Amino acid sequence: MSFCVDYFLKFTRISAATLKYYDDEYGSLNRANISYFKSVEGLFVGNTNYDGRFRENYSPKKEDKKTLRILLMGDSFVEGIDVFSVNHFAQYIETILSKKLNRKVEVLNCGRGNATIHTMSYYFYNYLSKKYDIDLVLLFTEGRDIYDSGDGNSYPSTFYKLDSFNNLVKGENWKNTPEYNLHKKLLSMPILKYYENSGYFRLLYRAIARTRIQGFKQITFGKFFDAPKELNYHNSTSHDELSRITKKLYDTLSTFNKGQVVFVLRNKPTYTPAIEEYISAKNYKYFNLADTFDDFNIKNTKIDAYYFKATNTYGGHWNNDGHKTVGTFLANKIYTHFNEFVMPGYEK
Amino acid sequence: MLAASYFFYGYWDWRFLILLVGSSLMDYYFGLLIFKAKTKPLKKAWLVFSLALNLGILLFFKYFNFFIDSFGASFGNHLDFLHLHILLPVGISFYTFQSLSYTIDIYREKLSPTKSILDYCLFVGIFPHMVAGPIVRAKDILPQLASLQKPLKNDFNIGFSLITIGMFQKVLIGDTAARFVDHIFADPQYYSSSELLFSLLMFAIQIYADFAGYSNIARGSAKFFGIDLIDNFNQPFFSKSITEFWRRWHISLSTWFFDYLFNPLVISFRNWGRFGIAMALMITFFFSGLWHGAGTKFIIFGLLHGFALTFEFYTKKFRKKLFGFLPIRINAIISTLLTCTYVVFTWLFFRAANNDVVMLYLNRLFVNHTTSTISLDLYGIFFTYFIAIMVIDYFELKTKNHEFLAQINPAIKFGIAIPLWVGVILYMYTILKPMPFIYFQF
Repeated sequence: MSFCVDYFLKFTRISAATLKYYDDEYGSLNRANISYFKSVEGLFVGNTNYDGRFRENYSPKKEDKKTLRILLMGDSFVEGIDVFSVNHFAQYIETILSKKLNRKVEVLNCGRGNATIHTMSYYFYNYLSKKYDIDLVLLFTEGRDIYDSGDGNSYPSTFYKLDSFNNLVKGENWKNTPEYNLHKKLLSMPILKYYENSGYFRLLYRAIARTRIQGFKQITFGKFFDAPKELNYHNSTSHDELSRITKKLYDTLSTFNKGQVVFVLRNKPTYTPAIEEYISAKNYKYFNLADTFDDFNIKNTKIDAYYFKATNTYGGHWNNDGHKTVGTFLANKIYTHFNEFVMPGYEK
Repeated sequence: MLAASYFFYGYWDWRFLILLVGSSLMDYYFGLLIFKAKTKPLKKAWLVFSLALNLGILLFFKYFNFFIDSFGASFGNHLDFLHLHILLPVGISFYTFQSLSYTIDIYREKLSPTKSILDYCLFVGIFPHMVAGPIVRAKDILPQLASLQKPLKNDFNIGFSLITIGMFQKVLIGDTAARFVDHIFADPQYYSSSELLFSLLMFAIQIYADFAGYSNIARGSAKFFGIDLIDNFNQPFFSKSITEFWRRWHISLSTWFFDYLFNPLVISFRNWGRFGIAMALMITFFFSGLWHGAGTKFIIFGLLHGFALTFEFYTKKFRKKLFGFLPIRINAIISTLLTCTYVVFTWLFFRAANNDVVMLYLNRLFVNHTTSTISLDLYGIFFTYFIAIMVIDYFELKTKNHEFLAQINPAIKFGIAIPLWVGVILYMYTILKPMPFIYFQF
């Protein structure tokens, strides 16, 4: 009976597969070829591809040289697992742009939840840029990018930091975290290797995680105990300056592939004017998503791009309408500025 | 027990406890007045007065805004400013119908009023069934309350098995199916035809598991106190016709409408022959739809079922002639599939938030078909849920009762129950907010 219930839990996605694993070189990455499910804000049902990405299964090298290959870099906004893959903004970019340019457009979604510029850029330079044919990079910036991650990093991945000579060097502090060491220890115990394949164990793991956040008493006895404040979306503006490392990473990334990098500025969750000021002062190419949004709404409409009706939440990500808007906006922007990019063989 | 039941009800919102107590007291005294009235006209007058008050309260809380909207729409005006901004008291439709059956049965001289006001209040407000049924009858419950004894060991055994199955149905099937249904119904324009169909099938799973799960939990909880509540479901998806479906689905509501609306209507329309029965069916299902909720979509839902029953009534002989050549089993399979398809289709009107959603579903399902690559994944998920539901129904069908778990060897019973409870408890600790029962809103 236990096996039947275990299979029921897995096949119905009640206990979804664990998305992350620890890679020795890069730290936390998405697992390849797994069925994944998420319904905290929106709904996602799908699989990761051979490299842990969502949505597409393109080979690393382009099959046709005329194909335009765009790589998306960013955090969970870009990863976008709150909507079905066909409704992800990458899909809109592909569809609209391929129609306008009359050639195949392939968009690789390399967004990863919680990633910042410090971890993203390390993975990009050491892995993505070497493995994949890339014509254009859309680099999504956000408020957390501007700080110096120092010797530590909130996200358990290898990251870039600056040495005393202002050179980019690798930081691997995540390998010393108790969480990683516990994880390693657990996996070394043969019985717990079953963990990844067990619906019960996954559910137990999530139950413990939720109890830690909400508190045992509150979950068990509900109304008698105060619930923790709901994670909801708040507008904020950061007037902090860009750190040295952020400037260095922006400067370095902007030169990739002869400058085929476009910064995409997000107005949420934290509007950070310093990023736009720096990028425009340096004359780097950028698209500002504030041009297509009025606060939470899609510009000139009353349609909320961040609110998830089914779960009644503002978790912080774009809903289906938001993805459609971002995809359409970016496709049109790329098309409008197409001649500014140096991409031999691509004429309108 | 009455205090515990009132605490349970008031825990949600103590203000509606006043309504429940007031309604109980009112009907208790109306019952006495009807019984004691010496003449038939006086009995009738008290009954009409009682019906007017009970239905008035129900109309006020549940239907006021709907009638204002309908009235405004018919004159092309928006009368939103007249809306009442009040919450619908939990279970009002259920306990109002129970109270109505009490006074009507006394009027019809099928029941004598209880002398104990506490027993009556407990009959209306007993916690297992008060918020979402089953809609029990006074003649079934009051005698049990009057002679309440210490529950037997077997009562605990049956109660435990019913609650185990009910919790599995409600939490691990119903609530988890809602994860798909709620999202797709909230934003249907972003989903393909196959995904929309998936959401509709999943809703059928959800509502059945949610409501049948509740009914099992309610019956199991009552059994702990030695009280028997009636079965509310009887494997409805094995029905071979819509008529049979309503004998198996929400049985307590169907029989209530049959006894207190359909039968009196048939008697009133007896001079109209078959047409009279058809009319009675349509009127009954119109009100059955309206009972579910204040909205056009619920009325359409009711009328679609009324229409199907009328169709079956008129074509019974013809269908028998037409399909009589088919082997019985094949006939049964085809009939069951057709019935389920029709029932699932009608759920669309029940679940959709508004008419635009209904139109979008109809368009994508019947006119502009689209499909998507993840449909296979989704139907794999649906199939797993379907098997889980069918396994429970199969055992219920085989053993002819819902307490099948109570009848097996204790070692096997706990071998089944423990994994189910572990799954249920773990899942409940992973969710942000518990899902209310769907029928709470009614």
